[in-house]
Amino acid sequence: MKRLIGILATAVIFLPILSCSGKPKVKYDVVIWHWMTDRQGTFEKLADRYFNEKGVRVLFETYAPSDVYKDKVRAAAAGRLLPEIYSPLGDKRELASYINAGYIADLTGEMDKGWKKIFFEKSLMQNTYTEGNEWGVKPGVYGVPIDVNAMMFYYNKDLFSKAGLDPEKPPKTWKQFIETGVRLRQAGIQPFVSGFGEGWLIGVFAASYEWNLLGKAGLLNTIKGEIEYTDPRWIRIFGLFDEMRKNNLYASGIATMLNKDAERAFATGQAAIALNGSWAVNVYHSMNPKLNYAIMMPPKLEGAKYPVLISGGEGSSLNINPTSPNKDKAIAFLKWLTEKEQQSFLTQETRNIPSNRDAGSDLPPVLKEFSKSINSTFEPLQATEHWQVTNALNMGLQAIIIGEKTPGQIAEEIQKLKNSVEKKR
Amino acid sequence: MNEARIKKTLVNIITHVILLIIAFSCIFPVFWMLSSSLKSQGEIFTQMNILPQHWNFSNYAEVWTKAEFAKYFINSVIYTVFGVFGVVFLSSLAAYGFARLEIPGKNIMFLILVSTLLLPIPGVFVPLYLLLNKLHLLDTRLGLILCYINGGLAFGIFLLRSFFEELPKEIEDAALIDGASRFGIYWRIALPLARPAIATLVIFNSLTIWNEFLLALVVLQDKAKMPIQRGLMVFQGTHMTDYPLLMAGLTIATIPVLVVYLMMQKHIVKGIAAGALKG
Repeated sequence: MKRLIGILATAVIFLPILSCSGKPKVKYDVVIWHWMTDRQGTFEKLADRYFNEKGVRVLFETYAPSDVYKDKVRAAAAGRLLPEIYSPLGDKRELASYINAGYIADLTGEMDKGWKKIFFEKSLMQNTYTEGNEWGVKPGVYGVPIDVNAMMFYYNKDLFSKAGLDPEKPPKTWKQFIETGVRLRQAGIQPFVSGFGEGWLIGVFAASYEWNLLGKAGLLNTIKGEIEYTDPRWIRIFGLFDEMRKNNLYASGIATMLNKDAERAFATGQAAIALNGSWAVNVYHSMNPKLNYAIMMPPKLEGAKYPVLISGGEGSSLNINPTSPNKDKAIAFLKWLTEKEQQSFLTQETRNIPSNRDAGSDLPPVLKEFSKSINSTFEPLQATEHWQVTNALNMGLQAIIIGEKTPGQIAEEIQKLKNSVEKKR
Repeated sequence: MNEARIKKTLVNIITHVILLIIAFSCIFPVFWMLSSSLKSQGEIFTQMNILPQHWNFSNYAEVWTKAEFAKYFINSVIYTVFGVFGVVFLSSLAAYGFARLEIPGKNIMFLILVSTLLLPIPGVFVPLYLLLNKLHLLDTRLGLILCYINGGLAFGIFLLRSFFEELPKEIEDAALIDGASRFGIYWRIALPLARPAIATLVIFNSLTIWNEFLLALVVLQDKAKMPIQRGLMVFQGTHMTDYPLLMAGLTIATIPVLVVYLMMQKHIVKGIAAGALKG
């Protein structure tokens, strides 16, 4: 019994220590929740600089992985405990639900005062809602981009040379792309790799050709149901994946490959061409600093009516909590953070493409190429396809890649699903 | 006779080969972690050597300072010690009650309690967050420890109840005749006899709490209160991971768990066989 009393006494002594609310000794004016672990050190330096310049204390708090971050934001929103600055980290639909619930401030007025002009136009689009958007959000700008990105084809110059190809002349058309792949395969090199096992990368690959063949109006009409997935243009897009399979362009196991594995395969010279985002410049450098590579646009389709566009635009962006008493201080801080000087500092420290279009002068050559391509990124549509159809599309393309189904079969299956989804709506 | 011996030897060889393969498949990831913790980032991706070409012991020092491991390490020790103590103390009390006391509807209560094992932690993030906020326990160590205790109770009660039910009633009856109270019997007789099951519970909960990360990230905000797993996060960027430092960090984080396991391993098999499987 004495022992039990001892344990209970110890617990009583420790309880006050454990239950101390632990509020930081320093009172912060602006708290920012983010998920960018690799930028925390740089953000902290900038917060110190801001305090020295303006006397406002800013605290950056990292929560990662992003799934946990999203859970925390959701829980805090339900409890009305969101910090001054955060991001719900979702697509336009999810962002819209936060805006409609009153958790995200409308920044249109601030942006119209000249703030908007400093950004790449495309970088604002993810956070912009136009008239008649399908989520019923009041038209306006609701977020501040911190950096931008783009997704292009990387190619290994040394492997191109080994296969007798000119590394300074990458393929520009689809036909040339297939021929290049065949030449690489003949030289014993795996031509193309990407994390197609993750689904979204298949979507990114297909999207360039959806814009190339259908254009914005065609895509919106598909979502509305006015163009069917059995349309010859869609079948041609599905057929591209089949053509790559028939010509043996895919790296082994690509249909189930994670992007991390695809990155390693490209960085270690196991594949010659890879589809990846601008962030991969850092990834490849860390894996193999000697890798000799360049980037190219996805090769365009012969006879396509529209330009080939790439996925990208906004990279990371932050939103402001409208209910915070320090909302104005939060806006002032984000304005300062997106000024050229701070954006250049972020770029030098983290090698991401800045959202401020004047701040990219110190970028490494490949990232400079990426930043030039920001204008070739396609804009986010003001309507989205039903998630079941998108999933079926990605899975259908995987089935084509492994030769399980034909493009025609997939087109019919997706259209059938689309019809049933529309009927339920 | 000879034939039987040959057969026995053959079976033995096959059994041992299979066991060796299984053991190797279990040990290899640990070996890879140790080996990678001493390599450079470039070497991990470009060289397929099992052993490092250059042994970078400095990775460990870098991890300890860069990720503020000392601070997180102490936090994790606090969470694990108090969390495990809470789980063992409360679940043993409750389990004894379920096993020995006559309470109306105790079987239904037990079923409801055990059914909470089916709830995944991420599924209760939002209500938990709101509850802790109402109790002013958000961003406190006590709040997190209470969550850990709450998370471990159902399994603890399930494990210990069946163990207590197996104890001979005669010993308790004798103690009652000698004037012992119900709590006295629990404390002096039932609990010491349940040592193997408690050892199992201590190991399971130590492992769970030491490795837990998601709940801590949701409940806590102050970096100074985060557990050791938060330190490992420093090496995992949005798009890239510093594998040598991450592996060195993982090695450091694994040591206390190994110590607990080695201290209590003799009780594990006994505990599981005596308690859990009978449940």
